[in-house]
Amino acid sequence: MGLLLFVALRQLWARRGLNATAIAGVALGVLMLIVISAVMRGLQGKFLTNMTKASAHVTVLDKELRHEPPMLARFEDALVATRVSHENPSDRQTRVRRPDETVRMLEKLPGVVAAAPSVGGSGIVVYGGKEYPVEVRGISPTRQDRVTPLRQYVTTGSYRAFSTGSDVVMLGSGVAARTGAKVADTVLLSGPRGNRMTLHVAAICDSNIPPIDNVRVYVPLASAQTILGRPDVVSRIDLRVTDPDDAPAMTERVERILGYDAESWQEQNANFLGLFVQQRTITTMVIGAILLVGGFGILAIQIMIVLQKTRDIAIMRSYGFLRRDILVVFLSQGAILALLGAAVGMAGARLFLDWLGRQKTHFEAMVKSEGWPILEEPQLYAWSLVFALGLGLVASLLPALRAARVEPVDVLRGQIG
Amino acid sequence: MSAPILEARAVVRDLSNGAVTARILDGIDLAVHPGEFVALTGMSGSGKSTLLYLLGALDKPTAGQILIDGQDATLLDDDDRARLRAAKLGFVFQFHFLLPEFTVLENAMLPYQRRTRDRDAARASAGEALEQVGLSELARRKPHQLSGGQQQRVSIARALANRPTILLADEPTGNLDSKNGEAVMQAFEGLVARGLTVVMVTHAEEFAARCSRRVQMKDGRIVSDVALRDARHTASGSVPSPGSAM
Repeated sequence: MGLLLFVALRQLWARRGLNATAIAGVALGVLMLIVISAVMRGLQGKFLTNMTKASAHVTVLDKELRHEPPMLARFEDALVATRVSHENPSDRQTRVRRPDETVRMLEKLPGVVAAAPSVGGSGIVVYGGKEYPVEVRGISPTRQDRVTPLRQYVTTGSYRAFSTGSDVVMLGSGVAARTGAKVADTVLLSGPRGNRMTLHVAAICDSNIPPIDNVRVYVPLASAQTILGRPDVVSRIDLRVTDPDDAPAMTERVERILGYDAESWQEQNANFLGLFVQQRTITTMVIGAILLVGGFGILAIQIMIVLQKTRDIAIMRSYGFLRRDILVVFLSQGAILALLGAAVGMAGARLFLDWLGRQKTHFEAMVKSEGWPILEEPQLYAWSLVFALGLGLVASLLPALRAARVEPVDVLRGQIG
Repeated sequence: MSAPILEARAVVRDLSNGAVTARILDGIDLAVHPGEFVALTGMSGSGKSTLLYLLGALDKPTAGQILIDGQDATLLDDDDRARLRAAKLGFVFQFHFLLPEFTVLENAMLPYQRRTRDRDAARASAGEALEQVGLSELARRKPHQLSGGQQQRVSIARALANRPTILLADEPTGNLDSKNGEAVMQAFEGLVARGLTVVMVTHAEEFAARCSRRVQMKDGRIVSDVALRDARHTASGSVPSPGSAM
């Protein structure tokens, strides 16, 4: 193997200019693979971290999964009416029944850290002549803080003032920015049925998730019930669990126990998670195409070298080199080119990510960040290396097989005439 | 007389281009004994190079047997024929076929190193072979830095460094001027004088006449096989000195 590697290296070195092109192709592919993956993973990681912190892991909704049979049906064998088809939707008041008992019961479930009742609906914030549509969330501040750490997200004002005050509101940072309302200002919050309340801005919070911060306002539960026209109604119970990844299983369990529909944070953010999958697929295709081009670079150069070296291969075969020796020489060359390309690409990616990480850039999309969110994992480098090596071997397989098939006598006879 | 070291028995070789099949060799019987210096001569297309490749286990006959030091090469698979070549044979071709990326010494080392996997022994053997052909001072040069004659002598050294039993040469002087051709011929004579068996394809009458035996071919058959002189006494047998012009 030592001799074959020596032959492979010496032949590579003799064409270092040409081989530098192949190395550059692989390096570019590996660099793109690492950089794009690290930024994508960073973005997704930041979003998921923020989301699992700022959102409830499991939300019990006010939609019952099974209907209780009407009282009469329990005693009467004959058919009875179970649902009135022309029932006016506005007459139905959906709610989570006995919310306090349910919350206490849920908090006793293994794996549940905390539970908090809330009511949600849409509303409009009016401030200084501006009207801005919002998502109203009526919460029990102390309980809610144990489920989603709102206190940590307060940027101005005081969560304590919000918790203890009456007629208070906590605005999402995006809502505050768009309406211009500040802490200690008074805003008018009106509900869908025309109910309205004048509220003091006690705090402004920023969860770093623009889709939430741009629309959400928090008010104490009782105030929200009044504004939304749903007195004493709890429309959802938020849960925090010990393992966010286990939320779907917990959701099923809660549904079975309570008979209410429940959603995990994964279901609630399915559109974003689906987007990530699509993003990953597209990125993989783009990077794959770039790496493929690098692979074709190796393939083209190796084919050219094999054609140029046919005579040398024939003479090596004549003095005892086996077909597999020739195969090993050319496969080694492909592997060496790929590994060198990977090394250059990895070093370039490391430097580029280091530089990118130091750049101060404000961007606000699915997550808010002051710099590039980068998740640089060692596995990414290891996989890039493995991928590049595989690429080099596959790309050089065809030329290597062609080289190994060289019949010395054909070449020598052809040369001599 | 000792047993043949190289033998062709009723060898037939057909070559086909798909549509037409041509008989290149037609029932060749030839036995080469140790220490002989055999010249294979004949017109172009007479089949002498084809016979040489068959004797060198580079090719397989359509029919017949090739025995190399008693071993039937026609029964061997591709890898075993390569091993047999590495163990018994040395080749010198009309063109030197030196690997351009390697130095003179490395070129001479490669066959022996491939066979023995012993780099140090290969270096020593290649050094000796280069000394025999008078090129030890040029060991670190690349082939393109040498003259045509020097390149051919390196190819002889490459064959010798692997310690072959038989040296097969296909028009080794064909690409050289008379002066360099003479030097190569002298090198061969020196090797034969030391006991090596040499089979050489040549068009050059003056060199064929200096061999111990001359086998003439025509249309794929041997038309004459003449012993010119006693095998170990072919000529002066001197190997050119390092300083000789080539």
